[in-house]
Amino acid sequence: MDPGFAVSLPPTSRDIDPGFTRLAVGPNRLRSVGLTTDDQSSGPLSLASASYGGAAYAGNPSTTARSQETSPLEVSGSGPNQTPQLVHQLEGQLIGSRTARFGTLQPAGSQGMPQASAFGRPVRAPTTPVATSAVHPGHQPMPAYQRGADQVVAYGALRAPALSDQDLAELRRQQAAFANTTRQIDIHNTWFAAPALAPAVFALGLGAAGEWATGEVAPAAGRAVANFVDREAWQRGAQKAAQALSDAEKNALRAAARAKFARANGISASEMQAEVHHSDPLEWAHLKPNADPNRLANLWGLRGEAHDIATRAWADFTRGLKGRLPTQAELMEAKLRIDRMVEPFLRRAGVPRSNTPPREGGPI
Amino acid sequence: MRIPVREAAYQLETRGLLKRERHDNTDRVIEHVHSLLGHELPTDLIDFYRERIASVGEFPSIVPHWNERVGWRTPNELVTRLSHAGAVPLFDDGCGNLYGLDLTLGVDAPAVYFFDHERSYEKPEWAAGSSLGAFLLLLADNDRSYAEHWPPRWELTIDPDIEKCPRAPAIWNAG
Repeated sequence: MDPGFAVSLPPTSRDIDPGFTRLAVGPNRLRSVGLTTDDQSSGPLSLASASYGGAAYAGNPSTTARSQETSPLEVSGSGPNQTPQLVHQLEGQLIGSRTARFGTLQPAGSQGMPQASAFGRPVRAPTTPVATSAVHPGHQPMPAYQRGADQVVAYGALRAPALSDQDLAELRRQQAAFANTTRQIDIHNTWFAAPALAPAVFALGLGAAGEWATGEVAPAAGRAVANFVDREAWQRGAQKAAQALSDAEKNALRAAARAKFARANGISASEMQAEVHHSDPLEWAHLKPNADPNRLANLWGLRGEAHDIATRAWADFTRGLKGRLPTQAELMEAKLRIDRMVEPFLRRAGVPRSNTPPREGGPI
Repeated sequence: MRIPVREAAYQLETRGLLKRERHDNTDRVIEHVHSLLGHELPTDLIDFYRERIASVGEFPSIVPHWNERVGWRTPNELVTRLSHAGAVPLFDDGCGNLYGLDLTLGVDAPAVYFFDHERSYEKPEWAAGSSLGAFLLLLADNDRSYAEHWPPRWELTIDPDIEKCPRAPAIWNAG
């Protein structure tokens, strides 16, 4: 320390209270403690527990003398290191409690101790040999935690005092208090989640209400509401009374279909050596009450052989129903499937009749 | 009242509603159908084949076609399509359905019934004529009755016995 740059603070300065010092009570933890008034005669720096700006090896006569040479209130801006540094007790080499001091560390060599580093910043090498990893030579092993009288945690050249049971208990208490406070804050702020969860809760609520109203425990009326199959168009309300077309109605529709097909093509189906095929069969026309069975798109001109293909496919479809009514979706699926089967044999006015289907019973 | 096939064909030909086949293969057709069905043909059916009827109005007849070079061009399956129902097809309604003559044995004047292709020609759906001759007359006016909105049951004026067919009711009594 350059004495020329040292500034002696007035005794009334409040920046540093000479009546207190810092004690290391744990890793990165310092505790301010008041100095005992019993040693006022020797001055603050003569205390064995704290040293500001000088060597801190208490018990060393030279250290004591050096500390007496420097006022604890002298702060130098050009000193090598003015930051607080912990001087840990190393396996009985230090006398007194763990302290923190400002100033330059005393070179270890001057203390009869091995010099560890010489990068302009003297540090004190550990007095005990540092173990090295057998797997990775030169690497420091994992920190060794020693609980006992010395209570030191060592990691390479680093040393830290281990926590006492009392300190651990205090730490646990503080952690529990912090967690409790955090939980209380979360509970207090739970209402912030309401806007985000409201849509999902609303949807789930509707589903639960619907299940309650239409589920197995619901009355018959409620279950009927949820029976969408029975509520298809032809089974709803007044249309539920709709019956299949009568034979007279079908016969009239067929006559109208032949006439409509002939008007649309300018030639009758018989003149085209074709038959008028209802793509949506008249058998199920009542299941589509809003669809005209004789709509032009539903009238196809097919040769007898091709018409037989569609007839057999529809017969298979009917047998597969086993007596029940098909749904509109099933009808549409069958219609589209069968349409694809006979579409290559479609007869069109003015188109050469090259699309003759295979013979009866032959492959499609 | 039984209307002979020949008389009905004559009336229809007079009205311009009947077309005949150019070639006469009647004996060959009768023998062929007899061989396919396996039993004697009704008199009305034989008369029907002898009239060489090609079509009545828009309805083409179902008669086996013989070609001197290739033989029978009409698939045998078409002739026997209604065998399971005890009938033989006579006409196609233009929409895939068939009119078939009843082949029930022991009937002097077999009736003609309608067979629905959407029901796989399973059974006679309704009676189309109490006899083959009456049926020809009814068939010729079928489309006209719808076009001119004839009153219901107009068929009774031509065929008073149509409601007496044993295997199926008249169309107005059908489902």
